[in-house]
Amino acid sequence: MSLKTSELPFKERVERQVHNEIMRRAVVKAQETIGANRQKMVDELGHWEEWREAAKQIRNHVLENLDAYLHQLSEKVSQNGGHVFFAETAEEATDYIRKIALEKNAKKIVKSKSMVTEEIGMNHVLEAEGIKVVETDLGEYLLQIADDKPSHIVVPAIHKDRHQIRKDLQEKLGYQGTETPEEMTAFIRKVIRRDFLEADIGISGCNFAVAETGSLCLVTNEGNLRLATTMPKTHIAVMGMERIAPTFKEVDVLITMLCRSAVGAKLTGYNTWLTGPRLEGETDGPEDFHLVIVDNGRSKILESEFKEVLRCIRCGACLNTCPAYRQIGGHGYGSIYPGPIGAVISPLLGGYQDFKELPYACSLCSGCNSVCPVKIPLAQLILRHRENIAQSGMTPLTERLSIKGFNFANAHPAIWDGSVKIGAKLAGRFIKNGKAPIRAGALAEWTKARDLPQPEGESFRSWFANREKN
Amino acid sequence: MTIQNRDTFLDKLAQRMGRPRQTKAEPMPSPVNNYAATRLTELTQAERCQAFMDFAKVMMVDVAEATEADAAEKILELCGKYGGGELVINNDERLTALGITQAVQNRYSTHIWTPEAAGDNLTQAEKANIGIVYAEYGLTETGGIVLFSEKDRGRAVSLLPEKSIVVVRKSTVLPRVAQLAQVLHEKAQNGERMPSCINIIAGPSSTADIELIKVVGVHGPVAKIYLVIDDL
Repeated sequence: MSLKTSELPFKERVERQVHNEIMRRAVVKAQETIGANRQKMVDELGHWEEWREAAKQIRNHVLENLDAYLHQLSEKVSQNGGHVFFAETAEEATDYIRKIALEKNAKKIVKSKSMVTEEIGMNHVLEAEGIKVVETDLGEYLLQIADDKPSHIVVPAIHKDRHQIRKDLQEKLGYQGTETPEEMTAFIRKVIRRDFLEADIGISGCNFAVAETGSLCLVTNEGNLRLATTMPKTHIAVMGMERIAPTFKEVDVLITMLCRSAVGAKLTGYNTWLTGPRLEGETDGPEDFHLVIVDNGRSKILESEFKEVLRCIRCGACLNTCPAYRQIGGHGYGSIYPGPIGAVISPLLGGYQDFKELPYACSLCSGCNSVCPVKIPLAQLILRHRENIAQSGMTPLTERLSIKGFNFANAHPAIWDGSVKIGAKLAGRFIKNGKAPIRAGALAEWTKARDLPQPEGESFRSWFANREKN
Repeated sequence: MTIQNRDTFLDKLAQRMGRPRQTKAEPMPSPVNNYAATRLTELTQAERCQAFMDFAKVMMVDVAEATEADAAEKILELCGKYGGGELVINNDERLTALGITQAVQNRYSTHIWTPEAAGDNLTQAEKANIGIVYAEYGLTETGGIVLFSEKDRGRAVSLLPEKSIVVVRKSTVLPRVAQLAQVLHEKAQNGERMPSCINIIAGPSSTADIELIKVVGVHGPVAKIYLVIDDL
């Protein structure tokens, strides 16, 4: 797996998801709970719009100076005793990580939650070498044992309820306890603690890398990232190349916005800032540190009309406010990046061929724009995708023909008037019980769940022109 | 240490950015506003400490107060309350100065984290019921504390034991992460290397991955306790 989480066609995915009652209840609850907590934190902070401007300014500055900051970061990491590998593609990144794992003769790897390692499909590459890769974030662990995929970028197992989780634990790990989250968590704590003690390598992502000091900032709650970077002898961190902050001063603004937007907290339980491997005399932490900086399509985005999306700090606030995400959940999108942010970046990173439907999983309500902590105009970028898709002729033939027909009629008033008049008269004869005789394209989708109104027999313009006579 | 593929990678990136490659960034423009640096600075130190302790409690931290004189006595009370047993403590002169190290050593089986103990440090920390550390700073906004790792201060001391006790002085409570960032920035400007691990910790480890229900004690400590030393 990499970016894609499903081989099913889009409509089939959506169909399955809208009938998944457990997922739909869970997502509604998540949107409401996280949304309310986020709003509390926005109000508590005050001057939210100004904070958003400050965060946007930082991210724009970083993107404008990205080559220089990556240079500075790599110099610093190297001075601190770490290794840096620049990977243009997912394959280059996974090849390097595999090479390190084989050199270290690694049998077991503990992994802290990271979207970019999902994106590059790292686990499969390592597992193909017979290395056991253990996801240690609780949500990711629950998905891993059930061979399931994440459906949210912050709360990956949001689509499952406690009954399903208990069943998975019972079947895969022989769990005999109750289905209370407390008891199941305590059980998993014990199981994974052994993995931490035995692991040869810890792998993490990176929320922000500080160019000035060569440090990595990781934002977590569970303590698994701390364990993964305390116990194993080797730490490999993988970062999307845009995840840079010039100094810790900017990190302050970014983590303030990230935590408040993502989970509705002032900060998360742990903010861990790591600089290089352990120092002389230190007896825990990695002896060897590697930073893998991944492009994988990002530099192409930087030169495109979608550049602004690279400001993203992966808080997931856009998912938590999106009415489409609310209905179809993360799995409906079929990408590890779902929701509005996923509708923009999945086609950019994975191509229109696989993800051309995602920009249409959106009502353009622009709720995402108003919650984004770095002010990405997500709705406008989604619309831009639709323009590109339409212009490249990827839309269905019937849709293209009907748009052509519409444009033609719209440009010829006589034809327009005539067809509207005839249409208004004829429509009443064909629409039976709210359904049209032709069930194709958008009309068919629309009438699946709704009834067409009974036509009045005249067009609006005729009615308007005649209104005073009546 | 090695840096691989940098030139091809950054050359291509600069080309896509539509300009020659830069190795030095333009200075960060003045921030559009100063809220990050000024927030909570209007409070007095006493008010900041109160807010720090109040919010720590919200974050499910058990907060106890002591003076320099009774810190040792108070730490023993806390260790007793949390089940005593085996302890691990950083070899930190600031804990020794408060009489804390000696007090717990006299009462409990205590492992002191030192470079000389080598591999035994992790073994003992994994077995210990309580870990005791001294914080560099407290943070008013989040009720968090800040730890710097070094050879006598292990990452694992505040991580592996089920209970984590943090000794923090009121005089070190900062408004926000912004002031910590300033300290680190000055260190960097002076050519100092950062500690290999800095942790900002607020509360016990927790998760909400099952039905968004908050559960404490996932991989890290199940209980977080502050002993706040009143030195104002």
